[in-house]
Amino acid sequence: MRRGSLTVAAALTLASACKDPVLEARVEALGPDTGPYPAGPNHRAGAPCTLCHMEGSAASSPFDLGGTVYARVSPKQGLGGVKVRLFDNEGDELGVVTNEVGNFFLRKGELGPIDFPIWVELEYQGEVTAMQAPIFRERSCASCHTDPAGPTSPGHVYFREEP
Amino acid sequence: MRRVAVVAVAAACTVSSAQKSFDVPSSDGFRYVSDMLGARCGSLDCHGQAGRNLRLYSRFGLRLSSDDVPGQGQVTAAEHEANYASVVMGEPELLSQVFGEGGRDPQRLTLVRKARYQESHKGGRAVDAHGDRCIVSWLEGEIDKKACFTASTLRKPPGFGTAGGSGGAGTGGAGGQGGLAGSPSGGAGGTGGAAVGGTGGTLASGGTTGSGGYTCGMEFWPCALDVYADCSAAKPSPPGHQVYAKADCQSCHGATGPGQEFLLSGVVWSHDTKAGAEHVQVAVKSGADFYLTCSDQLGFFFVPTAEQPAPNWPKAETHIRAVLGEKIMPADKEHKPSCNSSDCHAHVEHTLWAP
Repeated sequence: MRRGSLTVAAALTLASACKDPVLEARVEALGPDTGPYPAGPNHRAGAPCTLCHMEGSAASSPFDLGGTVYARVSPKQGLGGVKVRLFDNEGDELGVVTNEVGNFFLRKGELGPIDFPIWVELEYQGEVTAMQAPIFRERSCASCHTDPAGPTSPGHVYFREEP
Repeated sequence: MRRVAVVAVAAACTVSSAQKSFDVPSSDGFRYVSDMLGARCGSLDCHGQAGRNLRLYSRFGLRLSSDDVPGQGQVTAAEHEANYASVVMGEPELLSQVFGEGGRDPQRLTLVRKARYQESHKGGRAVDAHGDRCIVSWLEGEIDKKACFTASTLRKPPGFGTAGGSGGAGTGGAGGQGGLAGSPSGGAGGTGGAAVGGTGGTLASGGTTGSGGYTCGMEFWPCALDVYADCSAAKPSPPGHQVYAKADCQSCHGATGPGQEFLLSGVVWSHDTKAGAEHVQVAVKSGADFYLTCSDQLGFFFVPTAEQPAPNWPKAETHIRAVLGEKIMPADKEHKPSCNSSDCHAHVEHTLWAP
């Protein structure tokens, strides 16, 4: 009996030792999900997806990549039906389409052969806009694309600057 | 060469400090190295972060001024200076040694080893041969500007910027998430995919964007057009035309002049040869319209009227670009058809030098 308790205690100690306190703090800093959607593809639009959706973090489904596309700078309204095209330097290409709130994501493994640096285009109703610099390693758009725009961020991802 | 001073504080019971000076590579021309490091290492998800020891400011990364935003506006002199400080202060003693020995064994520097991926580096090999040459040339004391500029212009991957042609994309996949579209054979997963593509405009010298207009982010230059494009004048000026190099081109090529009517025109000069500079891209952006031309063997450039609408000059942006860089005409200067009028670039104090 005593031996069993010790084993459990040791296992708990090991498990807690593997947690990443920095990651936990960042997830905590996101605050509660106050959006209108339950946990699922539509929730937390504009949040850095892979902060939770990575192995060892809060969500059970890890992502390779994720983000939210908005129609314009302002008002901040998610844009569905945008084809997010990803390219790498080897000529590999992949497309994923935003859902009704503007969210898109690739589950773990879905990025396939695409490797960093990744160049991104957005295509919507025959019009295209593109990031001018590639993503070198970040897997959440919103980690760099935070609001408001300023010296450390270009602001949220939008399709058009003007209406 | 430049001397940098480092204050070394010896932590002990008594506080003492000593200032040491080191001879390090000059900051003159470092902007070329800075641009290369910014493009290859300074993205917001890498060294374009305030928490980095090697903190880099760049056009598309971290900005120094609270008024600046990534992706908008050129890198400032203050940002280049901050990058210089960041690079120099990393290992000043070693840097001084390497520089003092003419750049020998540059891999003694962490900067070089990381960039070459000779030691652990999350970003892997960060520089290509040109980028490596750029850093090493700076350590040797004479910056290879062309290598730096070549390395600072990231080549876009095949297909990027061509607007379409990759097959269908699914929508309404599992849980409302879009399906995947593989290239080039069309969509997989999801239903109701719609083929898109083939709508991107094409660019021709002196032309504007084609139908379907390729709008390419916040950047001035269209994605499909890179500086490696063969930039040659569509119609070179005739022999002997250089006698008009200081004249207002529009006086002959305006609406009422005897020459072919131009929307805009001017002359760009080489600072090295003091003669006209060839193969310089000159572009004006006005709303959705983009006017592009290239300078000829005498440095002349023009955009023919050719039934195009004129730019909305008060709101137009003007850039020139060549193999060694780019220049942006300040917004508070008068943008107008006659670049070479006497009070503008024909004036001796306002000569339009190629980058």
